[in-house]
Amino acid sequence: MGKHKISLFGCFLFVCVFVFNLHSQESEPIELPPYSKYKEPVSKVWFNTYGNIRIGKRFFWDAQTHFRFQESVNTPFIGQIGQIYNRHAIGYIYDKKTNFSLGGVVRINFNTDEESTDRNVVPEWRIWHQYQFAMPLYNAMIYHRIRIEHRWTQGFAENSNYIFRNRWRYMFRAKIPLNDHKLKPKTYYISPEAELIMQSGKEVVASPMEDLRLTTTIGYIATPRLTFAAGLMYSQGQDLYNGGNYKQSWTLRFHMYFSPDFRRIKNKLPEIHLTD
Amino acid sequence: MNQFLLRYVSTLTLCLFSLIIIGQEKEQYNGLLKIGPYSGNAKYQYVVANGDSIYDGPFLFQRSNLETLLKDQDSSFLIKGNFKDSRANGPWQFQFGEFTSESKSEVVDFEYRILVSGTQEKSSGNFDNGAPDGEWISTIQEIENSEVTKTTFKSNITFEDGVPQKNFQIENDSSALVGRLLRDGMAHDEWTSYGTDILVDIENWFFEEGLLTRIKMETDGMKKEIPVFKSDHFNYRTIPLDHRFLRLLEIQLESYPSTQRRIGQLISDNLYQYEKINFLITQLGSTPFSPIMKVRVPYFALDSLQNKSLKNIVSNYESSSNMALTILSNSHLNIVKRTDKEAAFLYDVAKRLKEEYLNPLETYIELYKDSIVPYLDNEKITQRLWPNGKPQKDILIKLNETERTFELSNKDDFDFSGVNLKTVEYITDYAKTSLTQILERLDPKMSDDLQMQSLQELENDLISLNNLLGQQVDSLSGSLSNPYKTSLKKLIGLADKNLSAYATISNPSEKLTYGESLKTCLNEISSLSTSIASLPEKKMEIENLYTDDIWNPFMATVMEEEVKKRIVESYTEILIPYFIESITDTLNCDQIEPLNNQIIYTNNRMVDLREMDTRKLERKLRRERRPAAVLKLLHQQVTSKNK
Repeated sequence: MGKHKISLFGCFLFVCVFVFNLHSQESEPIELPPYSKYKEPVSKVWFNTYGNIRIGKRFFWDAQTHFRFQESVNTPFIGQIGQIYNRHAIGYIYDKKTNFSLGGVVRINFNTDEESTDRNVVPEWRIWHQYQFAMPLYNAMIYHRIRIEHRWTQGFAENSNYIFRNRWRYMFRAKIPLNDHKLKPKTYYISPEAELIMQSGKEVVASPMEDLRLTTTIGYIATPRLTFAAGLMYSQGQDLYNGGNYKQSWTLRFHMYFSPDFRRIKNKLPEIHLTD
Repeated sequence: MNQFLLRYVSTLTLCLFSLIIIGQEKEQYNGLLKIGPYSGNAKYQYVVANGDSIYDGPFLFQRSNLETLLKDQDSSFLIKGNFKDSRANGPWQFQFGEFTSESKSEVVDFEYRILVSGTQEKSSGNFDNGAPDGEWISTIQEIENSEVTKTTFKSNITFEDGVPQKNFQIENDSSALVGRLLRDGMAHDEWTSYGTDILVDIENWFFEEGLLTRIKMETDGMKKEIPVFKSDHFNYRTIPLDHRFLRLLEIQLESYPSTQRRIGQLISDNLYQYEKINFLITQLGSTPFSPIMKVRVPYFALDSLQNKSLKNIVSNYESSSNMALTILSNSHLNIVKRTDKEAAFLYDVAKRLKEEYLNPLETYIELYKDSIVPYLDNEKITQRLWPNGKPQKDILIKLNETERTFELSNKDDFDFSGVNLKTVEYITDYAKTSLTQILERLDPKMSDDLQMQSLQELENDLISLNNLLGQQVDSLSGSLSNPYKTSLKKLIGLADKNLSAYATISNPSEKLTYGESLKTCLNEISSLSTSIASLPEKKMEIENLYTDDIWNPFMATVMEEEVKKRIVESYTEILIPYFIESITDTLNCDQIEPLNNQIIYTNNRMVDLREMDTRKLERKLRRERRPAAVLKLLHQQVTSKNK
């Protein structure tokens, strides 16, 4: 069932990208470089918290807050704050391995260009929905995540207009327990993941591949309700205004996952028999 | 330069190496030690050889408790010396004190001194390779407010290679003894005892190379000389001058009852002091320690016939005594004899047999058990056993107005006329045969049928219960781990112990009462062993009960989470070990049921607590490790909830 959904969705994605590519050819002429140009990688540090707060038998509140730092001319490596990112959604648990979410994002973008005389802070708005499928494989679990975002952004320049884009994201991730036969409390795990982010919209002409993220994290499940992880991510993607230029970055990521359950005891049980 | 460095390094390595060897040789112990009734702090060195630890080096063992001293009375001791290869060597000191304090104190040079009163026993001297060597001094002193007020005992004995030598002196608060020993420790010459106040000799023992020939004593101006052992006997044996010799002497001097044996008392006091040290030093693995003063005594070798007679006398005496006791202590018979003339007659005969035949032999049997008999002139002894004449074979009993005589039909087979062991054997045999007959005739009257029947039933019950218990424990302990098995074995042991106690009771009514309680006890043991055997399973059940399945949304995986950890830990890590220990430590029938109830209660309580609000309880349990207190806390919640 899950696989079927994915393949359908893949086709949809492909068609969309194709259509938008066609569409872009009608816009202003773009001077693409003769060869793709890769910029020097930028280093970033992300501190991400992921909350999953159970609010009913089948519903949860997905609450994520991320602090993203980016190197700048004066502050290399950890850099200065680039984005503060608030993602919220109401999730629906279809079954133990499948869930869906729908919600909004407010991202605060900070101008990391120290020379710039533009505005320092601008907001960014998104509506997002997500479809997540998990599959056990031997000791490990693998996850497929499809996330679609409708995104309104603006530049730092004074009075700049919002531009609208859609983002099409697919992530593949595995979590492999290291010191136990399955994912359970007091277990370390390693998690390789790959995410492709495609984009489309009026402004997207020759740069459909916004980002390709390749990450490996090591995590520790402290309790069933609390997990910590840290990892390193490499990403690359096309520059929005010139598809021939590719941005690169190396990101250190630190994650905390928490899933409290404030429901009264009698409502909590049974925890797992969702379909009984 | 290089050579110099090489030499330096090799010297250093050698030094380190030899240090390691020395380090391996001796180890230091510093901690608790218990030797018989003495327990305290010990500090000593030892070496480990072939898996045994052997004392080697300084040894210190002591105890004193200020708290008990201030509260009531403190028994302190201090034992200090040296071992060389497990044997006592060098100067040693043994000190035992019983002190009280009236809480008086002094401050001297920044130290608080508490004044004590009581007695202090002290012995000190030298050991050479386990054997006492040189002068050993033992004293008992009375202490008042930390000052010696009186020396109530003092002995000085000089040893050479373990053998007491030369002159020795023993004194107590009223008299003093000065004696001489030969080089082999044999008593010799005149031993004199003085009164400490009047300084006149009041008792003299005369030894001829160990043989005590005569005793001279003076009391109230009257001089008396008593011959002891004859010097013309053909056979002598050398024995240690110990309690057995003193007992032998007592028998020898029985015809002089008025004598005050001062010397004997002094020797006995001294032996007591030396035995105390001997106990400790042998417990510590060194060679025995005793004054081993030696004496010679006449030896009366017994031929095989005499030995046989002696054995028969003892066995006859013992079985007769048991039978007499059975008859005389039977409560039912005591009731029956009021109305039943035959019973009353036989009861009185048994009583007379005990008084006239058996009681006079009591001392003789004791002598036999102390192995003193071979040093006694049996002819003389047998004469003295019945000073008022040997017992009569016809036992005349007066009952109200009538008279009846008891005699054995074959009474002529028993020859009472001689003066030797064989005669004593006949006498004891007569008593035994008579009592056997009496017991046979009395047997139907000694217990009523109803009682017998209920006893029979009870015994059947007990036996089947015990068998069941055995089977039950066998089947239960199959899959259990060791501590559980040990405690189940302990329970079986308890059942066995009580059953043997039951078997030794001869009085039927007592037997019945004890048996009934034993039956309850066996049933309780059986339920307790079931509870114990089910503990591992219960533990798992409870651990499962206190585990929630939590769905982790990030992993999309169901995970187990322990809840109310503190309560579960108190149960698994404090209470279960406590239950097991309670069984292995001490147990009697009275403790079985409460313990079982406690286990059952705790198991049920654990199930109940899962659903209850236990935050307060968990907080309290966090600080509590004592099982009794944990149990109390588990109970407590109920009361607070009930309110």
